[in-house]
Amino acid sequence: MSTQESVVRLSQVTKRFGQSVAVDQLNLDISEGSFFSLLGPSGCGKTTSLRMIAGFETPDEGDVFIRGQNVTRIVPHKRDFAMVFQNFALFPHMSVAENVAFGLKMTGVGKAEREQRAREALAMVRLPQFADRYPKQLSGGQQQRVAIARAIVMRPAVLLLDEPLGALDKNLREEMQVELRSLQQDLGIATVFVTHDQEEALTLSDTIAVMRDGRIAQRGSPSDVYERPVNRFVATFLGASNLLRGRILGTGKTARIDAGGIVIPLGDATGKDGDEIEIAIRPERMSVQLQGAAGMPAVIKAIVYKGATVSLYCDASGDERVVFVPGGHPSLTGLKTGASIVLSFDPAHAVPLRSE
Amino acid sequence: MGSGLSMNRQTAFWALLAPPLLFVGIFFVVPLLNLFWVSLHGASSSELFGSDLTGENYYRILTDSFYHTIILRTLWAGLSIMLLCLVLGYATAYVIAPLPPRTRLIMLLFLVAPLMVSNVIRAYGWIAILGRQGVVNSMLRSTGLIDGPLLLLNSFEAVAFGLMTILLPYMVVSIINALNAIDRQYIEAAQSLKANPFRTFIEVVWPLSSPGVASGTLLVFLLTLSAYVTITLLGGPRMKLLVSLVFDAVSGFRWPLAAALSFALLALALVVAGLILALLRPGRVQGRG
Amino acid sequence: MRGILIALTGFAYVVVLLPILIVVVTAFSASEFFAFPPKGLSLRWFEAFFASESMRGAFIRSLQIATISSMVATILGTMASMAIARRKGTLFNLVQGLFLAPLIFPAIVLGLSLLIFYKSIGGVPDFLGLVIAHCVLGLPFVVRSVTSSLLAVDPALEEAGQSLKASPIAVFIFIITPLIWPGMLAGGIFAFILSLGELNTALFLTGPGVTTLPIEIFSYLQFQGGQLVIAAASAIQVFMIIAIVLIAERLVGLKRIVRSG
Repeated sequence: MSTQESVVRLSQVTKRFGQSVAVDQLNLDISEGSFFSLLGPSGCGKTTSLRMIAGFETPDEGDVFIRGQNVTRIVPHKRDFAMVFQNFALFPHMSVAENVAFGLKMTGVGKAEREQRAREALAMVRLPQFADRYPKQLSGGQQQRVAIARAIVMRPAVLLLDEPLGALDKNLREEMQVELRSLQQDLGIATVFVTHDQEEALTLSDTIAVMRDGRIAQRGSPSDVYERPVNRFVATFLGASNLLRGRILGTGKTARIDAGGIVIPLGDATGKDGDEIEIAIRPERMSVQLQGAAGMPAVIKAIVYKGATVSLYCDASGDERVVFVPGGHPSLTGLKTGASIVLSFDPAHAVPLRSE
Repeated sequence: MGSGLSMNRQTAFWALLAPPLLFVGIFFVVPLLNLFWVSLHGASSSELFGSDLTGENYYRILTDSFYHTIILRTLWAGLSIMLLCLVLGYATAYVIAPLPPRTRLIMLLFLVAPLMVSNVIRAYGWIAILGRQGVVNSMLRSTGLIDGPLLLLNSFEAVAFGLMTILLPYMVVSIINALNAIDRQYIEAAQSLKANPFRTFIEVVWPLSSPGVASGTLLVFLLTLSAYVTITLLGGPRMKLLVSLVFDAVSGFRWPLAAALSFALLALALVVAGLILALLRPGRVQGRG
Repeated sequence: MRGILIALTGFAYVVVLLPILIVVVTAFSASEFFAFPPKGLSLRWFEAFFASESMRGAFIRSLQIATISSMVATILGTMASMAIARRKGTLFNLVQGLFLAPLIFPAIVLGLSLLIFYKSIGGVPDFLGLVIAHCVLGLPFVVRSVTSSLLAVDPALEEAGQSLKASPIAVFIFIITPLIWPGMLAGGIFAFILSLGELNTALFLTGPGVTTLPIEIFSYLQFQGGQLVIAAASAIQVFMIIAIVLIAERLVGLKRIVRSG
């Protein structure tokens, strides 16, 4: 991706706080109109990266570009971005309309125009009737929408979202996810979204960058990172995975799983005959067979009913394995804790992991 | 994640801090150091202070029995006022603290607003009440209980009582803040553990209110030390405390002695403050020390 | 037990409020000498107060000193609070302690140290000297009140302002100031009231012809006996304070007034 196309580019950016390295030689490219998520556990550097795009932090090394302009040394209020904050940061002493119009006022937009644009933005987030209220008089979800309206009214080059849904309860969060995504697509505004919630990232993003220790562990489309995790960290941070050991066979095109002997294709993973390799398989890609079938023999330790799915926790010669079976699936009939079964899977769903 | 200080913020920080810091430095710290410097000199008839460095002022204060009498009287006055304020103040705070917030606020306002009235006016009020032609004497005379006026002013007791009434609100406010900070659950826990109301107070409420008691007593004592005007008005010309000697030394242009007496006053304040803190140990409730 | 506590509380309110009440009532007395209850009501002592050049002069000077010193204290105290609020560490605690120190520092020592300091640097006009002293005394009230207002402001609001193109100055004007305004006002009002009634520092710093109203009342009481014109002067001060408290209640709420005390 060339510099001309990308709205935001981070080039070899490093940020230290005292002794610890928060962001380590990070490269990022966010293209026009895309929804880009930075996903990772707390302390992985995702928020610091976002704050460096905004200019609230200055990189120790490397450069930040917005629309091709190097903004590394430019103060926040002169950068072309807008942001939705974790706890919304609505100005408590201003009405909803004043909050939304504030940025326009700062950029010298005339009173009539900014009132008009604030009204439009509020209509976009479906809150036109709340213009004269104060933030304290609104519910969490409504405050969230005002915060979004306040940001999009600026028509920024890039919209930065710092865990904006974290302060909402579960149902509201799912509702807001859908709304946020459709709003972003309607406006076609490039968006950087910071979250530690994998489900949120999978639902919303065009591209996800999974971060760990200040670096990007993997970047790709939601299905890429979910279906083809590259290493153990991504495989276990993003949803559950069963990690199996195996050995590479012959020319390195295939590998055999130690337990059960299933042979899987390796794709572009490399290695030579006899090398150990770790393989991930998603619980929902595993299936349960009756004793005697080909696969890994196992004993059921616990059956946990979760509505849409049923989780089976199994012991396969000392290793814990998890299987998600759709609720009501025929293979569940007659299964009991303590029953001996065989676990198997389609070799195409097995993902060889890079060693870290 | 902490935010690093960029050059811009650093500049803004100093631009904000420098003027007030300079102001306090020049008009509070420097004059105080200067005062100490002056206190280390002898008197001079033409200059502010003599030319040779000497500890004679301090030596005099430490050895002269006249100063001992005054310092002991000052301590005694401070302690009596402190205790009077503590008893009355704690009782008042204890009654007001559990009231509904709005009522409590109004009750407090009636105590805090008098603090805004100049002490000279509040002392004058007591003169009007206790003086020779004051309210008490004229009432007693009209009922025929006494022939000549009672001398209620110009005494140690008048000063102690008057200052107590003037400083009492500080004590109430300090203790109320501490009492309101006590989680009701502690009291309920004590009751659930079979403590009667008296034991609950002794074992739970009193120790938890110690920060308020400490700051209240400290404030009352410190303000007693420098209440020259009230002491003079209610105590008359012969009721002298340490602060009166400072004033007298200034009136006699004996600047170095006045300066040394000021530091004796400060030392007394520090010692008593240390004693109060050691005795009440408010730190154990406040989570430090 | 409860009865004793309530009796003590009642006694406390009486001894705190009664002297002020008596002075205010006496001020309206029609008679030549003190008597309580007054024999007849009049405004003659208020007229006498404004007719007396020294009283009127001291009153106006007190107002001027209180106005200037509280304004300067508000500005300096707000700057200091903005610099050190939210900062941790021994050094910042020390600096904050320094700003708050005059709150509990023996006022008479402060007055003497300033008097000698003024003399040491070759003299300072009495009026200016008093303004400076009251500014030092008022500063801690502003620092305390503004700092607590600042601590209540969500730090993200500042960044939100910057993200919406507000320069640091615009952030201060449009976001921080409106939010800490009640704290500044409460601190400033308290510094003003403090200056109006301040005695023990002003004692050394007033000069011939340049005195404040409390010092003027004090010297009247000391040297000219209890003339009722002092009652009028006192009553005027009390009325001003009541007026200020009522206005402040409207502007910043009762809670802040009680807390600044």
